Amino acid sequence: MTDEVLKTGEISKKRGAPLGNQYARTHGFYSPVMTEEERLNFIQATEVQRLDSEIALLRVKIQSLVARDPENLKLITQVTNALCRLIMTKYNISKNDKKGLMEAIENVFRDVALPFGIGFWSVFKK
Amino acid sequence: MCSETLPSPSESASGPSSRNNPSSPLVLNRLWPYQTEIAIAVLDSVFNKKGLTFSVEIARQGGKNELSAQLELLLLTLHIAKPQNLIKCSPTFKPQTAISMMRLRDRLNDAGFAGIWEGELGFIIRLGNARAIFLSAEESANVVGNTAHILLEIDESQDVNKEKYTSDFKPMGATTNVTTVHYGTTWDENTLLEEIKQPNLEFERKDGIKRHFRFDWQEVAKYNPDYQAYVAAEKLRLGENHPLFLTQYCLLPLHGGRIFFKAAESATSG
Repeated sequence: MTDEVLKTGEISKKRGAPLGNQYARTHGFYSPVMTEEERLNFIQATEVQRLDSEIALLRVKIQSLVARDPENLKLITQVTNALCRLIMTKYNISKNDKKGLMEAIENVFRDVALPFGIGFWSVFKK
Repeated sequence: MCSETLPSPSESASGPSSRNNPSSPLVLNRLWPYQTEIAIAVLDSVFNKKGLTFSVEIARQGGKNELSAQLELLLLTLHIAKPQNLIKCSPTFKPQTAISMMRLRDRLNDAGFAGIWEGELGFIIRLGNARAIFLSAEESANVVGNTAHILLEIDESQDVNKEKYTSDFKPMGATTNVTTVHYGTTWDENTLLEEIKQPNLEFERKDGIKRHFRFDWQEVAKYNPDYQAYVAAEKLRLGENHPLFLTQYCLLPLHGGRIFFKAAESATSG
């Protein structure tokens, strides 16, 4: 549009917002004090914190599950899968690695933790 | 919040099902019962932040490194989202530290973490946010400044310099009240391992909490016929009163054993 103005000396009659418009500008509480870059960083940081909170919550959920219902492997698997998803999101693990990560965590639980028997689960739940 | 991320039952059913399938083959070696006993005691201290110090004597080639690697694998997995460290030190970087790192890498790969774990700086293995840091206890090694949040392991503790351990390694767990495990075989009565072991036995007499674990060759051989055959041959070759056999397989400390052992070893190898 700018080129058009320079060449023809006329204002373009194209539809749409004029140059420099602030239609998309957000007017939230932080907007006046944050640049666009800062705002993006802020959103990213908030997202990381949200993931951390969810990861922490799921860890507590898993501990609670193995304490109250250690035989419910299906439910433990579901919550473990959810934990894997969050971890993958946080560390930008690709979808190709997703299955691998979930299987690896399951292998460790099955082959290392479960053979420890009730002794392990009783110390893990505390 | 959690429910939003939970997979549907059908999705779960189509995912990895090895845990629910008793016939699925194991990808990791099962620990023997004596290793499991130690692991549960260590994990109890780790999970409950008891900060206990354990001494573990297992006969030569009886599975100390495997126990250590599987503990590391499990703890790294459980702490995958946390920026926390476990630290393992060995008397020398080559070969002992290198062997420990290789063992953990193998177990991570066996479990399926290949391509997910990463090596850093040549002495760190990182899984997610959790790190296993491998350090040398050689006197010239500069190791201060690391923090052990999850676990502190001292491999071949009988060969680690006491002053080095006290000044450089022990403080790594000071702010975290970290659980510490000393692995090794007996040598003489002046080693770091022996220095940890004697108070452990005394504490156990007082509070009943087992902190010292000792499994000689006969205990290991109960579960492994190949090992039994190997040690029986060593017993024949060396003689049952040979210092090598007494310290490394029977786990009996000798008075002045280090000097006696070296003399006897050179006589045997010659």
